[in-house]
Amino acid sequence: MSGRNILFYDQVTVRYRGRTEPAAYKLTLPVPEKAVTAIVGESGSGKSTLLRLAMGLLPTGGEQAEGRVLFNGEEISTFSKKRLREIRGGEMAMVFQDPGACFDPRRKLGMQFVESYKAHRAGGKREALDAAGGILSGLGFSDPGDLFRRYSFELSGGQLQRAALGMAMMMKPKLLLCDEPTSALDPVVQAEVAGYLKDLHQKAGTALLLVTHNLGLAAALGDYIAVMEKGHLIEYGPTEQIIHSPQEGYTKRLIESVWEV
Amino acid sequence: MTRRTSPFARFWKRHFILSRLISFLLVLLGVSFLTFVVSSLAPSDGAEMYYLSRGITPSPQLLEETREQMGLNQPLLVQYLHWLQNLLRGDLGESYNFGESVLRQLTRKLPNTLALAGAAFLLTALLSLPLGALAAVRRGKVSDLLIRAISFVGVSVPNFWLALLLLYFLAVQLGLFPVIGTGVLKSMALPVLTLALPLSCSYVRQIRTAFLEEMGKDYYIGLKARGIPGWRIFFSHLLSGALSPIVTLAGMSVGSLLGGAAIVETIFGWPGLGSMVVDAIRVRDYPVIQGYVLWMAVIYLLAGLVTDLVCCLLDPRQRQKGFWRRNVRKEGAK
Ligand SMILES: Nc1ncnc2c1ncn2[C@@H]1O[C@H](COP(=O)(O)OP(=O)(O)OP(=O)(O)O)[C@@H](O)[C@H]1O
Ligand SMILES: [Mg+2]
Repeated sequence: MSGRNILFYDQVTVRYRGRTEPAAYKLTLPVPEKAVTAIVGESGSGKSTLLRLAMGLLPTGGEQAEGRVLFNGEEISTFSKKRLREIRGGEMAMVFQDPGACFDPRRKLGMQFVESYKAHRAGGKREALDAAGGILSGLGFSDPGDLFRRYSFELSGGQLQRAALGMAMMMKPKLLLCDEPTSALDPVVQAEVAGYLKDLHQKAGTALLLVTHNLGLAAALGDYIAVMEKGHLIEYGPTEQIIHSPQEGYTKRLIESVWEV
Repeated sequence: MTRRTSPFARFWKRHFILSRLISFLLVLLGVSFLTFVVSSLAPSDGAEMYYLSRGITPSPQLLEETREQMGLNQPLLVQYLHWLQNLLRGDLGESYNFGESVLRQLTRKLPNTLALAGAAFLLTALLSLPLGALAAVRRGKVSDLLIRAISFVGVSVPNFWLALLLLYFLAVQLGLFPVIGTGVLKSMALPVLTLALPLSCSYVRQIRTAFLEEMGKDYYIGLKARGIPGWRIFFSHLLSGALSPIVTLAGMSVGSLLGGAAIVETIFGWPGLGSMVVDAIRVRDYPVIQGYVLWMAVIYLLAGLVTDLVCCLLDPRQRQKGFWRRNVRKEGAK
């Protein structure tokens, strides 16, 4: 599994204006290509912050105070606006904690898939809908044409999450950032979406950086697990090592709490 | 147990357009009644005004006869119904002052006010839309601060003062425009500027807010994360989102502009509805005032109605349910 890192957080510190505690502190985390890295940690530990940082889309008030984030070996903060736009959605895609965030509620989904496609490829509407349809039929939409005529608010949570996944994967990015892709869903749909995630990752060879509350999901999908607490990376390693011989008390408690449920 | 709603309430909720039309008519009826009652409370009645405005001091006997003729001795409600009946036939009475029918007078002045209002509105839109959007997109940058500072000053300047300033500098000092007069496009410039500048300033601020609100929504970050070009995000997403608050805003000022801005029209001697009503008030020409108040009510209500319809059309959630039915699920549900 060892190879190049598609993404590398190097001694990164992130602060939000008006807060004394940093949301991430001197944090170093590799994200190897073609592998699944899962970040677990309690609410507020800075998981979403890390993903938003990689996209260069920190929430307002957030600022990278120290360190570097390398995408494919290049420092993201040095990218031009144009290059950043090309990378976003093209080489690095993100599925947000709230699946609705992906779509404009005022536009039909088809138009939004076309728009995303055209932002990265020279093709027209036909090619765009073909590409989107191909991905979506692999995500359990038997009739993508029907989906294209709908608005995001007409979809169920699970459909929305799958559509968002399809949108993110349409350009075959090298890295997919997923923020709690299953937490808004009921257990059956959770498992379904997790299955699709694994599928997409394996077929396209996309590296996955997966944020989750759910240690079970992390263990099932992850090649590597990173444990965060209050902005610090307290434990990192291959999944078996973390699950079977956790070093930190916090990780042990996290694992125990899973078995209790 | 679920709460039961009356069939009436359900009907009201479902039939959006119909319910709006019904309340439109009811409010109009109420306004017409109020207008009538208020002007009949005035100290001098119609008969007296009729003679006074012609420079005649009537004898009490003549006054009494005229009152009888004009039906002023009948109960108020009967008078109102009679008035309403005339109103429905398009008869708003006669101006005491000119002996001309009120309707004629209104329709004679209306084109002037329409021209002024239309031009002011157009100029406002042309100024405030790009500036408001620019300020939002460049939030916190120098251009934003500059636009906000200028618009802050502009909002605080009273209309009549601005009118006098413009008159003094542009007309008297620089001689760019005539001080007074109508007909020529040039004479419109100053009143239009006086109306449009403060309006643009308040629009800029609200349009900026509307865009910022749209940019604070989740989907905005989503679009950026998908790598959609900035111009496309703006024109194809933010604009349509910010449109409903802007339309609401426009609907409100269309009312006040079409009423004729009384002060501005008077200062510039513009023969529109605003200066007409100021004159009418001066000589207590009640039929004209009544006609004007009714016109204002109709315009405000119509603007509100149209605003609601347009906002309803702009929202796909509403459109989906069809034009005639209101969507019961509210937007807040996400
Ligand atoms: N826009 C913001 N302004 C100020 N502080 C913020 C902002 N966003 C996040 N924070 C703070 O930064 C810390 C990390 O937040 P973050 O959203 O990254 O946590 P998280 O691990 O994703 O939590 P959750 O599991 O609840 O999503 C928290 O303490 C949070 O309060
Ligand atoms: Mg989060």
